[in-house]
Amino acid sequence: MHSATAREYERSLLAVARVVGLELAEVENWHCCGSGAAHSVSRLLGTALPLDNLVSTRRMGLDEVVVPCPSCFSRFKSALHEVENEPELRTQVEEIVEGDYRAEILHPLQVFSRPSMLAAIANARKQTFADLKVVCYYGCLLTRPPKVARFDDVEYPQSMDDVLRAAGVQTLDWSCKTACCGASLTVTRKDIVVKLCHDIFQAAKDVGADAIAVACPLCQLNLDTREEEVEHEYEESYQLPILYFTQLIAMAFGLSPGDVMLRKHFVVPDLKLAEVTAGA
Amino acid sequence: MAGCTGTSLEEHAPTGDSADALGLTPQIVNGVTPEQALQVGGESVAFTELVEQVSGVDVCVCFQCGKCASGCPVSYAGDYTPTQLIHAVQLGLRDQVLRSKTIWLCSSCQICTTRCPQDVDVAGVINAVRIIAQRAQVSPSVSSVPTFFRKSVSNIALFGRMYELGLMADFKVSSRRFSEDLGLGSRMLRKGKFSLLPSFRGSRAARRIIRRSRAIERTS
Repeated sequence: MHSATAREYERSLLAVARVVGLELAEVENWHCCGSGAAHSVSRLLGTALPLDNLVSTRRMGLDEVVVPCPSCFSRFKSALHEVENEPELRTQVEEIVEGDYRAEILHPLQVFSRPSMLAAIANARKQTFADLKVVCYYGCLLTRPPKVARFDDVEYPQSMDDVLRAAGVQTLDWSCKTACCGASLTVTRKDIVVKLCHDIFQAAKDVGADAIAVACPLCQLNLDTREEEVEHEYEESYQLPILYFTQLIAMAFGLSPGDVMLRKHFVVPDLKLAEVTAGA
Repeated sequence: MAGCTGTSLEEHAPTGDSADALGLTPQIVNGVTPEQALQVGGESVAFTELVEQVSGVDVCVCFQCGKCASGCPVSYAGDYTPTQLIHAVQLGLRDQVLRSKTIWLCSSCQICTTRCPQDVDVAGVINAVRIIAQRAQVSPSVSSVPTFFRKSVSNIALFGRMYELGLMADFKVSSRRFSEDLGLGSRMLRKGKFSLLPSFRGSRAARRIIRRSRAIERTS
């Protein structure tokens, strides 16, 4: 993740990976996968862009790619699925990208929820979060559509709950795990994003959550930066910090709120959370 | 894959008194059958087939159960529900489909595709319709969305990796939305959520992919 927007996700993810012994290398000379935008302009372009990055990966002698952004994760997996099922598209794509693009696409949650990793996370705990109740928000594209994502339960996933519980974080059941935050409509139709984020905040508040854990930079951005508008529009107070699941694990491993850049968020976790993470 | 509207309603309609009693015979109002009112024919069939070709999806198996509409997070804001949109594609209602708001408001959350009991990739159909609308240069009902898509692709062509600040500026200028979210943008800057300068790493490779992809599409 090159951009400043999700630097705290990158930093906390790398910290967690280091502690649990997961070795990560950056794909050389990677470029944008085009996300939904390129795919909505041209299916060929939206398929060739991610697969070209996989060619670069294979050239490094690697065939597993950890993709922390679910929008990228989905685009990579969809691209592989589409060329596998559409011979005509495959022929065209192979005229564009030069080399083998077959690789396994993994979201960090998939890696960290393996039994060996859950044990490694539990063993590495140095701090606990007393009185912090979290709901896990998986968003749209980690599990959908299931024949492409092939990850976790499509409607009610559990992997982030498992990973955070291993790190000593209390997670709650709730009804918006795979709801949609509106994604890039935040740029074009923010009224829709405000409405969808409101539904998510309300569901989190209804079960008594103190924070929402996320695994997606766009979900984090939408929920965090639109929260104040939602509160204003719906005359409600939520004050729910939107935390990357990796920030929570990294703090459980002993990193400080400063190390995981909590102050980059619009809704900075209140004193209660800071006290617990710093002192427990 | 054939279009869904290639045969006439009369061919399939039950005939005889029992069909009349059930009200199944196509009603002729003012000398026009429902099929003629819909103008089902060569052009509409061609549109259904074009959508099927671009999406790779067989839309004809949809029987309008409505699960996609009930799960869709943005159907409240659109003009057609996803179910209605698929039905319109089946009927070859080109203008209604290409001019609809719904095709641009779709957040591509994939709930429709996931829950379809007939395995219709509804989100894939909507995406294909977006591509067709842009190629045909149909004036979009929600113009900011395709503008944002195009600007995103230009941004990738220029920088290789998304330069968000540049994209936002470019989008604001071309959609004439200078004031919206200015406060939010400056707060994001202060919070360090934007890289001030672009990186050009990966830009040559991205441009190569974009150039080759356009070349193939021009000839196919």
